[in-house]
Amino acid sequence: MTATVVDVWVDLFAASLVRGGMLRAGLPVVLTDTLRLLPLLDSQGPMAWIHTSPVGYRDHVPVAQGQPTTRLRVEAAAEPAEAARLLRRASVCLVAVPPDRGRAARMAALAAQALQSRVALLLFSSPDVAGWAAFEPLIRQGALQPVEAGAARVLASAQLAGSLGEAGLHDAERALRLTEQLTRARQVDIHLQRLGDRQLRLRLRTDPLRLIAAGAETLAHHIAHEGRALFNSRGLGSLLLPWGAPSAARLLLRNVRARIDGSEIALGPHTLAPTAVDYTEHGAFLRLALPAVLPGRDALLHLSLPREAVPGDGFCDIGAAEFTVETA
Amino acid sequence: MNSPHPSFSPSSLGSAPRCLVVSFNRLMPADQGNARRIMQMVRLYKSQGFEVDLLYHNEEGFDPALSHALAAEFGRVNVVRSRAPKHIQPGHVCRIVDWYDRGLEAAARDMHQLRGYSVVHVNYVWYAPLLDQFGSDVVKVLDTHDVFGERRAKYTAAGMKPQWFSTTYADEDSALRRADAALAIQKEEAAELAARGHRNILYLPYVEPCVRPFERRDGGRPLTFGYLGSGNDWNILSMADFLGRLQARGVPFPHPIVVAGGVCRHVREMAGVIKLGFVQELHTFYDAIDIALNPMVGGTGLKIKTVEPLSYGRPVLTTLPGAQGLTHLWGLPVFEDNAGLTDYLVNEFGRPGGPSPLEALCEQAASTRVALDDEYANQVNRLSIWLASRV
Repeated sequence: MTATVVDVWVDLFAASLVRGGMLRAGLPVVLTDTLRLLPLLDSQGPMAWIHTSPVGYRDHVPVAQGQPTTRLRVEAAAEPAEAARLLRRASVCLVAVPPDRGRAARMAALAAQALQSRVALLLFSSPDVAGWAAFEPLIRQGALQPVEAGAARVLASAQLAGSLGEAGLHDAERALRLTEQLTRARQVDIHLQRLGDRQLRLRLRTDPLRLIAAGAETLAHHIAHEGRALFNSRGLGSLLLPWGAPSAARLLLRNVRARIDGSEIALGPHTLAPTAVDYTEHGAFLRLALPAVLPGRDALLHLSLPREAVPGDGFCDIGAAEFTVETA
Repeated sequence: MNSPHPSFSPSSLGSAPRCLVVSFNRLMPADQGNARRIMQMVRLYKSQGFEVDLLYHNEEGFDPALSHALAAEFGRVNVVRSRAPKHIQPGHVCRIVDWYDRGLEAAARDMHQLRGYSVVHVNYVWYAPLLDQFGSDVVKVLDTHDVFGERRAKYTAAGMKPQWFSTTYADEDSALRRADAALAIQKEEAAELAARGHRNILYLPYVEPCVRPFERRDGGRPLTFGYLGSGNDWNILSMADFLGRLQARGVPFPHPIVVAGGVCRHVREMAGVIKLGFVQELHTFYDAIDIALNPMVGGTGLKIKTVEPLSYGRPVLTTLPGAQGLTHLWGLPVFEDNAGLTDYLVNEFGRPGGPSPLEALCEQAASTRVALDDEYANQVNRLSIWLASRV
């Protein structure tokens, strides 16, 4: 089991904590140095992201009966007071330990603020990232306990570790219960298939609005106005991937005026080509095989549509998004 | 001399306290009276050290330009489409439960969870139920904008069909009790609400920021009067009454009267009356006149057209209904009705080449402006002290 799927399990666990009312009052807060998403936790209500590096993008969450609003992402260096306030009021603090030592040191200092406010902590990452060294004092001070998480390294406050049970983070039964509840409550369209003892296949269909990331303010205001996952007027779009694990993606691109087989697609250092494009009356279905997001990189998929596919009098958008991930 | 306002500096609380403002008005540009009042409150909260967020109950449109403008003004903005049924019962009775939109509640709770407000400020009594979404640790402020209990009676007394919102005293009283403080925009309204037994009423008048001082007029054009108003029933009725009385004199008034705004569509053609229609910028109108008129025959709520000219360096002549809520500060002539106003105009300005009282009016207007500013500063101070005691 690779460490790249750890955020899938963290998402399943954290969402089940919120759903089960097992956290103290407050907001779930994620400390990270990259632009990421935890779609299941995100579906459970307000949460905040605190970044130790510049964000550069605006992404959105839907508002019931209203226009989408920006997802709360705070750059700790730019807004230290706000970061401190969020950490004090957090219900749980999830810490994605980064590979960069400098950022890890800043993140550990922030996590220490949460610990001072008796906020439950959960640290996770690949065991070989250099950033762990910066967290050792915090791990000792908070008496964080190691949690069974396969190839990943995960440590948690005693109250969280105690709620994990023998299966640790990779509890397939807990994941099944959660996804059934989320599906029944129509909060998330997720299908979970058990492949083995600790191996799952998850198929997530999500509102693309939750994924689209605007690199420019103008596009963000158009997204807020139209409530759709828009590409910009030049046919450029950035999509936040749920989790950093390798996945199979299927995206419905609407209002495209020409074939899009020649779109330029990139994820981190990888240049990608579609595995298939199906043209239908609803739009073009783009299928992609996405590699794992590298540690320290944003989970941003960049698409550049051919100019002839971009309408002169409107925007292309993503009308539907589906991702399939296996935890092995 | 006013004492300095207590404020809530970031240093005293660790970070700036936050205020959530709830409004159905399109606040940018703030070209309606109620939107300008709300922006006055936004400025006030900011001056006290608050960071202000907005929950826009979208009843007046939303577009990327507005999204951009709101993002520049507010810390965080959520937009919820209005689905309030807004039923009006026979006899023009509006129940708050029919005008309140429960769809706001989830967004308000989510915003509070994310941002942690110290103050929530709602506008208009039918938004008061939203205050119940916040705990006792949040200070709840309701800006009434107007007294809406049996408001319909003012219309029927003037022979008009009631417009917009009017509710029972019981419904309004119940809404007012939900707030820690209910703001009255006029002193008379504050007194009326207090007389109904409310002990949480704070009077805070509306004062426009001063755009320009009172200066001598440019002698290059004839002395010009002006009226700017929207096409609402009160304005139409008032202008019809005023111009009718002026025309009934049988002698043409020797000075031009410039009319601007939506009311132009309803103003009769008459010698000397120049209709500008909609003006993009207020100073375009005030640059074109020397004396503003507000010939109101009735109405409810804030008379913004009476105080606005004083911000643009122009004296204003008004009737008593136009000066409602301001008479205790008013140093300019006020007339019982339009008969009195037209008498004054004809007597003082009716003879071409005769001595003009303009200079005296400008002096009276300047001292009125000072009195308004002092009153506003005093009331802001009271509100600030009250807020400081609660936050």
